[in-house]
Amino acid sequence: MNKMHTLTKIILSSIGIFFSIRLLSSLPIAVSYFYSKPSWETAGALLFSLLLVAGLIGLLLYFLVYQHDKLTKKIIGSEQLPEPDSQVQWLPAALRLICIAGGIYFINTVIWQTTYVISQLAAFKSHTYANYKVFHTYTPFSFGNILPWIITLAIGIYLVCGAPHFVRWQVKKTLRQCKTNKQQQDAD
Amino acid sequence: MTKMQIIAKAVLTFIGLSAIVNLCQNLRTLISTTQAQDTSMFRIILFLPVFIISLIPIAYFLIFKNDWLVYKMAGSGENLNPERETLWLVVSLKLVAILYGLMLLLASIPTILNIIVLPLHIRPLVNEIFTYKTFPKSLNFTPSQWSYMIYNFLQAILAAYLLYGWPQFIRFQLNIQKTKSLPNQKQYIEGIEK
Repeated sequence: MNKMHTLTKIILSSIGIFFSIRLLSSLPIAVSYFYSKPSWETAGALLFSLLLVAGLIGLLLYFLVYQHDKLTKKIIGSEQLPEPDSQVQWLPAALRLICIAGGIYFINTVIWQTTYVISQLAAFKSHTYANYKVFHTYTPFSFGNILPWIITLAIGIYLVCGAPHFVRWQVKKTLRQCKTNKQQQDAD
Repeated sequence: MTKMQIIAKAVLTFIGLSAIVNLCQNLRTLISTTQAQDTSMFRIILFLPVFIISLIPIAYFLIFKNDWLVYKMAGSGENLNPERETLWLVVSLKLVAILYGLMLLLASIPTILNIIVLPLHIRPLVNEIFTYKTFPKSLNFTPSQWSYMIYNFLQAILAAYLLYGWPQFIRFQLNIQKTKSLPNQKQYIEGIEK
């Protein structure tokens, strides 16, 4: 194990803990919906939100804190690497870590939106009576709401997987920029 | 520059970027509450100089000329050789750009989708203009809607530009670094030759 592995493990654990805490902070909203409009629907929504958040926190802590060795090996490579004499070796690893953090941020937002929609649906349903006209309708499953949700989820999954094409493209661009700069410096 | 100074520079740039975006967000919120009344217009007129006065020092001291703050934060040390310095500077600024670009992209997904489907709305609008010979009513936006649309559009452009790698800014920083490091570079080469 070299420095890159250690640093990657530290960053992965930090990402896991940071986003777990961020997800936990979404729970009071779900709880407050139940307290403001106690009903079977809001209780069900609260339970579903709890399970969703608990599941994701469990996954985050398992993969990023408890089993981070496997992920580190996937990001950096095999354990028998020499110390990185060239700084270039850090570049893809750092970019991949940023992408993973970004991906978890995207998925985090998807979970937030999902729990919010569930709470809203439950709250609206509990206040719909047969003899009353419903003036405000909530349509979370419209095209305009679903499409951004799907795209966010897709980008989140791609980023969590390490965004290989994006990382490769950025590495090439960065090295080209450094090379051009060096040539200019040499010419000066 | 040392490694720590470069990291400090990247952190300051990130803070500066997020401060500017937050400031613009506040301006948007303020405009969105405007109902063309005297009090709210007065509030905007009062806030605009405050906005500009806050924006200029943030952009100048945190993003463009942050070296004095970097030296205060990270102190001095042994400088990296020019090649490594270039690589570290480019990579750290690029990481900041990508991280913040991703954060902005998340907020800009609905805007990007709206921009993509915009051509589908143009034809009915053009038809409406030629049929009724009037300006389409659906385009009579309120100041609140205008402020949201302009802000979202600029945010989407900034997200795309940051994800592209922020090339102009990085080149600008490299040029500054080059002018500063020329004497250091000569010293470094002399040191190797000795």
